[in-house]
Amino acid sequence: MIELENISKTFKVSKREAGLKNAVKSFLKRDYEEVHALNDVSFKIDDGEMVGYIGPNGAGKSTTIKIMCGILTPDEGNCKINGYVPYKDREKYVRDIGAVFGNRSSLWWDVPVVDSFEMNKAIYNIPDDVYQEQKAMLTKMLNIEEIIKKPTRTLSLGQRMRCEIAIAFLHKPKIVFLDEPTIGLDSVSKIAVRKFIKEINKKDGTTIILTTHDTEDIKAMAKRIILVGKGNVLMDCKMSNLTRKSREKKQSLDETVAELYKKYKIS
Amino acid sequence: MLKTNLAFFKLEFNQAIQYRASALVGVLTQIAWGLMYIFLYSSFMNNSVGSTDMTIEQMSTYIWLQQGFLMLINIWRIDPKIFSDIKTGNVSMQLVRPIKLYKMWYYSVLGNKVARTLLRCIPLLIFASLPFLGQMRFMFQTDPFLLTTSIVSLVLTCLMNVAYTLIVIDLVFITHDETTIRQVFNIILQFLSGLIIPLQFMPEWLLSILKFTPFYYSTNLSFNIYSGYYNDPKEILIGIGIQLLWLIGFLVLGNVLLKTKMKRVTVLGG
Repeated sequence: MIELENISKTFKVSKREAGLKNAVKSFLKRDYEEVHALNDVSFKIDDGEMVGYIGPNGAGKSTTIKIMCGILTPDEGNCKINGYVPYKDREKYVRDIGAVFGNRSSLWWDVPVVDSFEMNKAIYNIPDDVYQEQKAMLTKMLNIEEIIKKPTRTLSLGQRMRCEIAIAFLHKPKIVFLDEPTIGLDSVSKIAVRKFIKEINKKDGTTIILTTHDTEDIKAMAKRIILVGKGNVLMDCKMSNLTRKSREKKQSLDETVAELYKKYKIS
Repeated sequence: MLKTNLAFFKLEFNQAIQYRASALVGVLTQIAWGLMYIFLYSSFMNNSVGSTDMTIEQMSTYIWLQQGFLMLINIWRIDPKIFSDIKTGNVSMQLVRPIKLYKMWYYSVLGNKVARTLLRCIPLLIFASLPFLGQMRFMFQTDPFLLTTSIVSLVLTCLMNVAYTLIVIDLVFITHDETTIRQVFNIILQFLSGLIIPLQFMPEWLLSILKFTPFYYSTNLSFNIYSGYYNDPKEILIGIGIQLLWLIGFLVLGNVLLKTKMKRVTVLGG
């Protein structure tokens, strides 16, 4: 159970004009701009749901995910997940979650992927039988049985991403956050990832929170859509509403989403 | 929890032990440096320039220990992954794991140091014990009390040094300035703990100040207990006690710094 109530988060970002003069000026006195990443964001997600969290670049998607992962502390509002406040009880809370950030890596670079698996086994204190079972199942489903024997640095992006996803599910988390998991992947890898996420949700009832810009991703993996823009929740509906709309208007899903962005003036 | 820490230690150890060629080159370089230092100081001592009551045997043993355990005590090479994690924001991936960042870093640095030291110190000390070096060779300490206390003190020195490294990492995390902080902390450590010039060659007034700093109670203490230069049991035990206090101090400071930073951590982008 995920509950967010009136979450707000503001960042201070320094800025200056180009040129040496301005660089010196900013060395002495820095101008900051307040960026309101999130404004009063509230929603509820039940166990076992598959939610697509969408919005244009800079809408606050990743910030929300980071708050829900316990990495960032919001300025205002309450967040309660599985009975914990993520940023307060971080260590206890993160035992039950998994996270995949498309542009980050949780694998150790120089050692074979399976060594990173072993690390997570130790970190999450996974019992040996559960570990072996999960490892066998995940490597088979994602087709990485041979790949995990190679060092991370030798893998292609698609291979690495599949390993990142496997490691996020290794400790049987109740909730998994996927932040652009298919970014930069080829079609084969994308399809493999989507199929896997759907299957694991059905099998283990894992709650999936997904952010992506790929409409095929949301179509395949999300049953509910939360649309954010400029730090606000603008729409919260079933995925089927969106697909129906695109079918009625004979548009592609991409066009429907783009239309939504225009409608809410967030593009 | 211990299992997790051990796992980090092992992972770093396994990674560091891969670099055999670098270890070989390191050993040769350090032998050259060791010989150079020993020639230099023995020519001073033979001509009684400056004042020290160290014997050439003690000084040579000190220098060989210093070269052998260089990787354990210097901080010019800290696991680059930690800094790149901090710079790129990849540190957020570590935060979604149920571990304390401090512990993870501590055991990674420790594992890295121990692996790199083991690869280098054994061949170096074997070379340094060869009889042809005469009074410039590395001598064996046979006194059980001095041997035990010097090992205890060396272990504490290593733990203290890792805790010092963690303070450096914390400060880099806070300021995002790797080069300056590392250089400043490295030069302080190297000069004040006698890695550049053994403390016994420094003027009295400086030594009396240094006694109030942690640097006096690191390699200076352990190496000189081993060489037999410090041999008063009471003084040795007090020294080890002070070392332990400084270790605790460093650990507390590192943890506090990291906690303050974590309260206002921001990870931007992506």
